Amino acid sequence: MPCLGSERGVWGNLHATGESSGGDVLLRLCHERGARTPDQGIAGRKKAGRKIVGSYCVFVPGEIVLAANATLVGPCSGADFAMDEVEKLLPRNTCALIKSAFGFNWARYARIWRALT
Amino acid sequence: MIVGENTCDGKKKAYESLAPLVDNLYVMDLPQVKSSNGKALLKAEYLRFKEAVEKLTGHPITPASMEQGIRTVNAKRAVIHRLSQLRKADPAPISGLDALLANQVFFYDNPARFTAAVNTICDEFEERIETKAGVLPSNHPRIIVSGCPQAVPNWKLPMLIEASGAVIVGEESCIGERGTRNLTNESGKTVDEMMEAIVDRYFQVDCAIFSPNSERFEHVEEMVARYKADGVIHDGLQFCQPYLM
Repeated sequence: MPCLGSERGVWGNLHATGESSGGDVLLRLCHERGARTPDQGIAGRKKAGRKIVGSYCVFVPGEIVLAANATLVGPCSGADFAMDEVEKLLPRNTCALIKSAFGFNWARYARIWRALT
Repeated sequence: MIVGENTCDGKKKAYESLAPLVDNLYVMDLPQVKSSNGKALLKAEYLRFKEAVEKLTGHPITPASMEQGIRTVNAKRAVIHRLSQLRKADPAPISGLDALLANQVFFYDNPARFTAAVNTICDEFEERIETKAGVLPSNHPRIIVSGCPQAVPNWKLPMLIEASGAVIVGEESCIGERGTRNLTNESGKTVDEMMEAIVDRYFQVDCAIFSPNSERFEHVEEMVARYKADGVIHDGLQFCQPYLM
């Protein structure tokens, strides 16, 4: 398959590798981009004391968040993650976006729980 | 702070179960009808949200900070508009998969870095258009994907479409034109005027939770004409009533 887009663009090589179905590529990309300019990344901003606001919807106005000196991000919710755990909290016939958001939050919650116990 | 919003019933009820999993869940109510009452609700909720974010950060919003906020978000939208314009070209200079990634990154990258990065790839696409160096030759079908958002890292549908020999030229979705297509008016001088402009801008969002939602169908037709699309593929997630009905 030919390169599906920019060869020297910012995200150009991502899909051309044929790895575009998993979260690993995204994590690597975020890591590489974050490593290039760590102060601009979310972790860097949080470390500098800036509040991070997460939102699941285009109705949450970024203008207001930025004006109050915070950073707006859309958390990942496009991959199945910890579905066995999520289906203990939500009906199985809940849409994939909602279940995915819960899966990523469950993983974070589980990490904190392990650290506390 | 995690902001949940009362869009569909699924999300609205799910936030009750999400609350114990996150540190600081803030739920924003949203209108379901494009009426004057609906707009008044959106305005009241945005004023309540403004106070909540000010309390979170300890930074009261000033006319200068609000103006900067509007300009920054508009710049991000404007660069996506530039990218969309370039996708009108035949052959298309960028695959739908890569364009979707740009639209996904819109949600979490630093705004200034994002704007600069998309401008960089747009410069390259202008060169590609001049030399007719498309991702696929002109005789491949041009597709609009419409409906549910494809959040990171969901690339399944565009991967299938483009591996089958078509090229996606536009996304009628929250991660796509529904989220990015209108700018917020920048002429306000006071915080009140600018809040009013923000309410005006977001009340135009043609989300499927609105009933009726005829603007969305008009937008799909308009996109088909604008991008000279050969077809529309509707992406309706299973159990998502607003986009399935």
